[in-house]
Amino acid sequence: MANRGGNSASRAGGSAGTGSNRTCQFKLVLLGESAVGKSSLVLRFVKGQFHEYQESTIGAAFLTQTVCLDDATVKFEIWDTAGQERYHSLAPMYYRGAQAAIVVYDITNQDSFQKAKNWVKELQRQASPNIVMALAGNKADMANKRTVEYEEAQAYAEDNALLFMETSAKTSMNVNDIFMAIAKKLPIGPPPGQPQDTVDVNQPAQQQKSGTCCK
Amino acid sequence: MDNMQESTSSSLLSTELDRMTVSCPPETMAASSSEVEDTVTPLPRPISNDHDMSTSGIDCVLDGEVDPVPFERQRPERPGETNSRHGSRSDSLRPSDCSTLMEDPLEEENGGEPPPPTDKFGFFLNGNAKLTPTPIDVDKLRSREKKWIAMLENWRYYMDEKFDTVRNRCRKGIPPSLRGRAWKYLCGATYQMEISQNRFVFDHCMKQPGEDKFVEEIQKDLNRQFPDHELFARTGKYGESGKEDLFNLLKAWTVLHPEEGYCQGQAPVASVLLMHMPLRDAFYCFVQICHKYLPGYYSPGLENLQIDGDILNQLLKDKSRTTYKHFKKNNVDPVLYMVEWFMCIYCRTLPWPTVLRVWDMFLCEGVKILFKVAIVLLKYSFGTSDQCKRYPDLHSIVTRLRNLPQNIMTEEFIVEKVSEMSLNDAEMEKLHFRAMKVRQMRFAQK
Repeated sequence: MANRGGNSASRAGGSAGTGSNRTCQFKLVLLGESAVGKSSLVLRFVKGQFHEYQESTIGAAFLTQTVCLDDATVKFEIWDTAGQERYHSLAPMYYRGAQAAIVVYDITNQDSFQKAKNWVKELQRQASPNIVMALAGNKADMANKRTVEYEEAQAYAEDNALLFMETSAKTSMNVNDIFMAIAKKLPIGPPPGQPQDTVDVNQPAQQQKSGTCCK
Repeated sequence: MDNMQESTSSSLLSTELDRMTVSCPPETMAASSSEVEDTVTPLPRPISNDHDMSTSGIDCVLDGEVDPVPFERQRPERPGETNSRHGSRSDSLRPSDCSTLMEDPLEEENGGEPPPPTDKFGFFLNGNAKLTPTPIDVDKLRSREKKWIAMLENWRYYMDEKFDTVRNRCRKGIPPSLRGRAWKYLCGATYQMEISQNRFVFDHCMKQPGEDKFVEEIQKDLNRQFPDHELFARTGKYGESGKEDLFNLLKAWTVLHPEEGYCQGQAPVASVLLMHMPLRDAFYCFVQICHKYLPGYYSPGLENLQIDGDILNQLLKDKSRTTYKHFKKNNVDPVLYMVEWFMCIYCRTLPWPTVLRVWDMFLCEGVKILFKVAIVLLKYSFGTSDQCKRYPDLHSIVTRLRNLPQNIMTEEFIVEKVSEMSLNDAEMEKLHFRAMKVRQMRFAQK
């Protein structure tokens, strides 16, 4: 499985290696407390839908979505995880090898912000060293019930070098934007023609070559 | 009865002391009075974990191997032994208690707005998803109903002497009109709620407020269970009563087991039960499932679930080597796909008619059914090298496992394949023992 970049590129429509538009594949994991809206963010991003009552995620869910940048196409392999503390012991299996993570909290729930911080800490310790992390303050449409101030979260994100946005899966505010922002920060390799290693997202983080994803 | 033993043996053991499995209330046969229902004597703390806690992890393993926690021993619950046999409260059903048994539930006065149309299971019909009416052979159904009624009236005899008949009838599918009652008998809830001293546990647990953190967790999930089922939907004709029952059931569980609390995987299971029976009945069935069928599945750490994941992997090696090798090559850990399958007893995976058939078999034969269904799904979605080629990497594999082909999930297909698959106890025990050992070794290395 050393050449997954090649596989995925051909599956994604064969754009790899033609012209300047390459397809890169990244594993992205969503983490955060239960009921903050992780699955809703994904559903909005992948299918453009929103369900007021989204079924709780048990274990994990897997989806794919592609975004286009100027010079490359980024294909996200999205791992949407269960938020309840009880599933925490499974989490390393989910974020193992992830090149990007969105840690989600609910702006109306201070506890969920604390949980988000714990997730960030855990990822800093355990995940791939070059993981691109974003913090999403979801349910921004409920600003009247806000308990986590924007500035507070922003300051925290700056301190920890995280991308940060407040989002709303319900109104779709900033949903595509946060995924786009992550895509832009991901290491898109140099143009084809130069020999490059590919990323094997199946391998444990420490074995991964950081840097490029494209062929 | 060895079927019952085998059914539980795989999940009974635990490497960790604090998650010794069955803390089920002691069940005595002494109490046999039928004045059960109206007594309100408050019980002392109903469950004692003492004997469990005194057992070391290693001992558990040995105990389990020699004497799997006795579903059967603790399951003398034969409704034939009780005087108040028939389903206790089933004659006082409220519409909200049961959607499938009621022919025509009373409509609430909600301003005359007609409730959205549902299929025969109570799920709202989507505009585009027309339900294909399955032809019902009325004569066959009648004849099965009669057989089941006779069987339920002589439950002890059938369970002791004619278990094969019970099993075969469960495999053929329990008639919808009797399903709730049959489930209650099969899992032993009937005994628990009518004869055993545990019959007061429900009232006791209902009276307690529950710990705040559990209550909060449960409340967060109430709107998230089968939101398109009339019993739990916001717009359903039952208003909030379905959700109230769900809350009470889960809260009562956390009162019974504050050391375990609430696991999100439990709510779908409780919901399925509530679709078929009143709250009290559903509570006892739920407790039986958590104590006897899937002990430790929902506990913090999910250790037993993960052990069963390892067992499944080994089983896969025997039953579908192509799948096994493909998964191994791509690092597809069972935990990536089987958590929801096993925890929710497939109720969020399979089409509804199949879910009910799987539950019929599961409640009769036990956890073995979960493994068999998993093997069928895996074998027929990744059993050929062509299929494997089409899903060449981890992400495409796990994505496919969340979107399985419909033709391998029909009730006919699943039931047929599950019934013809042999999976003997010795094999299961061997795998279980090995999985435990591997886990212990891994744990020791850490």
